[in-house]
Amino acid sequence: MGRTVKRVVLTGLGVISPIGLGKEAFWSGLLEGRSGIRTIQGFDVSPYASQIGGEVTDFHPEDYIPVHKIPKMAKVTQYAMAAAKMAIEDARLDFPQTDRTRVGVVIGTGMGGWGILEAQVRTLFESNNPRKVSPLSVPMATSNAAAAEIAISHGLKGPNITISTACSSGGNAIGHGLDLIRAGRADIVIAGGTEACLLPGVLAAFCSLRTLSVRNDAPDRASRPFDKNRDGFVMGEGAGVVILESFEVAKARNASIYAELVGYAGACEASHMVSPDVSGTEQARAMCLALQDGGVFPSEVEYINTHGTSTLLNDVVETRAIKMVFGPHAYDISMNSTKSMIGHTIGAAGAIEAIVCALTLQRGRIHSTLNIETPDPECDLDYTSHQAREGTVRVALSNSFGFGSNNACLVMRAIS
Amino acid sequence: MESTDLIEEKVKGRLAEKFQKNVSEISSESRLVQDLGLDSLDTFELLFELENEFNIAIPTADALAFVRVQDVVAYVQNKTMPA
Repeated sequence: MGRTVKRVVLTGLGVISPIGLGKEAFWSGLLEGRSGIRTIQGFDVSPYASQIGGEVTDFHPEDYIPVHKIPKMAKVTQYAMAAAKMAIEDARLDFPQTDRTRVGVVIGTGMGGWGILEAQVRTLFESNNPRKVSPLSVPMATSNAAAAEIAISHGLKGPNITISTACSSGGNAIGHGLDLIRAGRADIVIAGGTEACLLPGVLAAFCSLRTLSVRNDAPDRASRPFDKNRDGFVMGEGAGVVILESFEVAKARNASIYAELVGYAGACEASHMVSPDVSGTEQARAMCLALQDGGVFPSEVEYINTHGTSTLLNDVVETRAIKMVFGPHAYDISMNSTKSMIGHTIGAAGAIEAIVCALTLQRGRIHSTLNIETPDPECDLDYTSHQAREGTVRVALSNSFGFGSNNACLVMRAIS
Repeated sequence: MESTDLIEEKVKGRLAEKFQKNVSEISSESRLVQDLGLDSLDTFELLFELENEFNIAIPTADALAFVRVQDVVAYVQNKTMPA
């Protein structure tokens, strides 16, 4: 039976990451297997159990944002603004020539403007004077600041949505963008995720949750998804933004296309705030729904960008779930974990990893997973350890599994 | 009491910084909204800065009466006058 849903393609990519700014720097970092993890420089981490992170370095907001607006934007918004500008330019979108009421923005973020809240709450408590709290606190800290500022700066008057589903925010944001175009609510959607969470309060909170790696003496070896000696994830920051466009619109303006976004599923395990269903059944269900949504047979999938966090539980459960979906074919699929190099960028992760999928489909290269030295016997699939490899990929799957038992999967197809 | 010059310098300095202008481009007669383009958030930001700078309180109702730069300067001067 013919599928009548509107086709949606990716025509622009923008990324701010701990291993490079812009898709080319990011991509070469991935292929080289560079680690962006080091001791956190932003503040004194000596009292913290985990002292390492994937910080963004050499970020100059004035390269992307009018100078007078910079002090009015939290870092999380600045990253998103920068990635959006890159993606818009990459897609060669010509806004004066576009009906901007048909352009939407969907941005995912886990922690949003927590950095602003931390600073203002500190001011409030130190001064014991509410009048010391800046009037900019609200517009800067609000979760939808990034999506709003992107729309304001480019005059984009379509739906403007912020999605906050922890570690799957970016995946859900891109999936929601797909839904908006399919439903006819927009022709183009600027979709992605952003996070700037390497902050004292956030780090302390995650330390108390005991989910972070404490391999402080060897930062570049701390994020080691699927390795037997992994001890937790490493927090990272950054942003990923893509341009989603209906195929007709992209074709009409002769845009160059990275890949087609064919399927998406968002599903909740409805079980636990921070722990996945260990049987893997629920993660498998999310993957199946996304494949079904894209009209893709499991046997067609050749590459999976795993959620691959480097936590004890995730990597085993995800492996289990992948085997459940793909059966023996699971062993033929190339997989990797982008988090092994940049850490877990929380709300940006799903979007950054979707960008990895798009580039993998376009360029036929699969980046490696760092630090698999002693494979975990329960993680026995092909995670592309040690070295990047060449290989045509026609169908890719991206997994994002978030706190709140929130799962988001995206399926992309190469443009032939 | 702060001197008019000092207050004026500070008010103009803040506005210049906010709108990326030279202080010389801002005159005492400049209208905050029409000439300088102050919006409501800019206004609250300016009030916040003045309150903290001069350790005074500026009720919103009072601020609504500011039209020109000189109105702000006169208000702040009056507020910083010893009782």
